[in-house]
Amino acid sequence: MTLHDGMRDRAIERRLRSRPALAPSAGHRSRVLAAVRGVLESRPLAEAVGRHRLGGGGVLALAGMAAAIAPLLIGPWWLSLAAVAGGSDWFRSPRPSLVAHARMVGVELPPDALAAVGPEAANGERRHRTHPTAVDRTMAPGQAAERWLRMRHTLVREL
Amino acid sequence: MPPTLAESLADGDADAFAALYDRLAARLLGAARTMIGSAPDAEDVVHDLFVDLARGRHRLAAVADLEAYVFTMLRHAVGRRHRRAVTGRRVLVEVAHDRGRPDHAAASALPDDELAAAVADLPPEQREVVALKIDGGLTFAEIGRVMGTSLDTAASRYRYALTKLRQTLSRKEER
Repeated sequence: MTLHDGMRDRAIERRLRSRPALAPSAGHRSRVLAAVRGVLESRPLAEAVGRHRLGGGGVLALAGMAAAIAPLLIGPWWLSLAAVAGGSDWFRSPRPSLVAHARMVGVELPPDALAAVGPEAANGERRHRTHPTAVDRTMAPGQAAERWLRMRHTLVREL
Repeated sequence: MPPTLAESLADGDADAFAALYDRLAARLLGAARTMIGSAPDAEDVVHDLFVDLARGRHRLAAVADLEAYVFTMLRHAVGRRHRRAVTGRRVLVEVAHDRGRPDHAAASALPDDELAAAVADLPPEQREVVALKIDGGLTFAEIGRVMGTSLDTAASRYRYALTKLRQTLSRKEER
């Protein structure tokens, strides 16, 4: 920016400052202050209406509604927990049923694979959880899983 | 110790609002006119600003710089009005195929038409700084607080605004 530009900028600044001030139009002040007074004098809605408190009947009605809704909300959870605790078949592994199915169709599974699913499953009983380590706790998890996979491969191939 | 103006405003003292109007109205109107480009719209904005101040008066007790706070509210009010105007104008253009620019038309109706038109052509941030500096009489530090920028940014925008005004007016003089 040259010295000339700087002088011109200052001239523009002076020109901006010399613009006539914008005086409020007649009545603007009174309109604004009347609107402000209106706001100041108006009470907030909650204050004007007054605070509502529930009477005895209202409390009873609310309690009744809560009691009616509660079983719908927590009922399914309790049913699920009860099913797990009671040992429902929904939560059991399908593996031993495969063993039983294989027996039915005459497929002989490798002995070590049967050992992997445990003696009860080898007899076709559905008594075992999903994780291979739950089948025979003397095996390492990797070993049990590997035997389980081998048994599945055999089943898939034979069936 | 007598209550400060901000405390009186927070208490809902109508006289305090009158005092605030007498102290700031002319500067607020000037700044709003520069930002919007229309004196009647500037009056509406200032009217609404005071109503908003009265509604949110409980917040004023904690305000340290009352002038900066009020000018910040002014800037937000102008921004809201501008957004509404843009939406309304878009609808108007779609309906009437009007390619005019209402803000500029209003600006050119002000005294010193060329300067007003040049100010209206400034980018919004630069126009706001000019309004707050020239019409609002704020310092760059106060403008920084109002616009949420640093003092240096406010000063730079003001310099850029003057440069752009100089270039615009020079082009018009050459024609």
